[in-house]
Amino acid sequence: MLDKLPGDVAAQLPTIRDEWLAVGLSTEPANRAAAVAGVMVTYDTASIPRPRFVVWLDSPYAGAVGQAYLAAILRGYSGMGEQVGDQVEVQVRDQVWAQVRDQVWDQVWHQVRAQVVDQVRAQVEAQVREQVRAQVGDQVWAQVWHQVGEKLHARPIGNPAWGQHDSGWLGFYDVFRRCGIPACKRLDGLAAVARNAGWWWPLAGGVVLTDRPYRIARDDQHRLHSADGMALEYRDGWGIYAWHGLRVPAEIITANPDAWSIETIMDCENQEHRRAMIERMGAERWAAKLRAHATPVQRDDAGALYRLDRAGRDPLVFVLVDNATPNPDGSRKQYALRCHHELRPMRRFKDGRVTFGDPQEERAINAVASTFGLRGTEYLLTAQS
Amino acid sequence: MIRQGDVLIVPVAEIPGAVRRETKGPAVVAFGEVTGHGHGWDDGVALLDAPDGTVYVENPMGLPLVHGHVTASAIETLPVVEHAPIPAPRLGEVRLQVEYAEQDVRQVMD
Repeated sequence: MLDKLPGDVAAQLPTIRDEWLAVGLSTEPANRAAAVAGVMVTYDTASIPRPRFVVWLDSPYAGAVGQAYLAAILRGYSGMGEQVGDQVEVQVRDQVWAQVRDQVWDQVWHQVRAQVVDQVRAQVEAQVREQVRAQVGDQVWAQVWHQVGEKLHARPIGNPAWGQHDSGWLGFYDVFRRCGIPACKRLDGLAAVARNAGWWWPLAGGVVLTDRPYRIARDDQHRLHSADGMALEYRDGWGIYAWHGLRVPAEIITANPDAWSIETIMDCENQEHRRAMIERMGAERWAAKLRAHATPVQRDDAGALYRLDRAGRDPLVFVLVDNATPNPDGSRKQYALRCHHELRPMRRFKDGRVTFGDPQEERAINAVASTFGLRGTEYLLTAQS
Repeated sequence: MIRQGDVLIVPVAEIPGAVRRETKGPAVVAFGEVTGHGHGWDDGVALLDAPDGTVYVENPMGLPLVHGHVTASAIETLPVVEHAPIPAPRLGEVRLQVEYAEQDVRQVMD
């Protein structure tokens, strides 16, 4: 039973953490030979025949589409091609977990989690992998899946292993490997792929591997962020535009914000995207636009109410509100919420029914209350965050 | 009543004729497609659907409403907290924020 880390391993924890952070955030081209060697070891470890077909693609998106085609080809060719990610990765990981958990005291387990895993997971999994997964999922669904349905595979992106983006949990077991716990060696193949490639799809009879990104740009909170191009870009040109961790359409980053009118911004349906547009425009230019084109109606603790008069149409009325929870630097995110021009309380029900209440006096608190279907006099918060 | 971002929970004395929702994993009352973040509880809270579409929460232990990354099993705290956990009523009606959209009303999207 491991009741404390050996002194040399304990001293190495920051180094091990940084090594796996570097793995997760690497933008080096894949080391194909080393990655494929790692793949073969993973199949051997899982007692699955080695794949005969090895396909390399340049991005997770290409991989997600490519693996579906390779699976279909393998099925037609040999009756193989099923996803074996669960056997190759999940089952082996679970077995190793059970064996290591039995041999390590809680205190040591939690020490390694706190000093190695939490930061790697926060920076690599939460900030990068999940964004890639969401973007690949959205695009494969939008561009491919609605056309081919479930002909290729039941799950839109198959069952990938995350390669370099598995660095959080692989780093965890790397610590115990260095403590001499033999079960951890069963992860050597997965660790080799992670150190040398991006996402990969283990199939029966074949494997699709993908390259690592060409560029990762992040803000000081380690969130994907770039004001001048993709925040995450792969060598085939696929990637993600992001504003402080928020995935945004390309035009929010590539367009000239001077060209955006207040209406352009308020017409953007997603309020987080709208916030990103205002932040990209910058506080001074946004304030100048408000001064030039909108009428400040009223301001109170709930927010600031504005009206934009439009020829031949109802005025555009919106309220600017600050997020109740401050950012780490003490600033607050500001949101712009569109209201009925008479501040009528609005409700939308699940069955699509829409109701409007009676008009209210032009006050910011009435405007905010109206977005929850309430009148200002009914909007009595005891707490908010 | 409490508010966490685009979610308002109004305390109620009783929940009229609503059907308990069968949920696996966390009870999520609002989810942002773009952010992948949601508001809800990991466990210990039931969501109930009324015939008119109103959603209620039954929170017998008075657990705080949390915001974070939604997974199959939990709502994980974000590295940069966007909405702090907040005390929530034991029985409440969920109201999701909406916006005006030229004669229409749409749920606030994030």
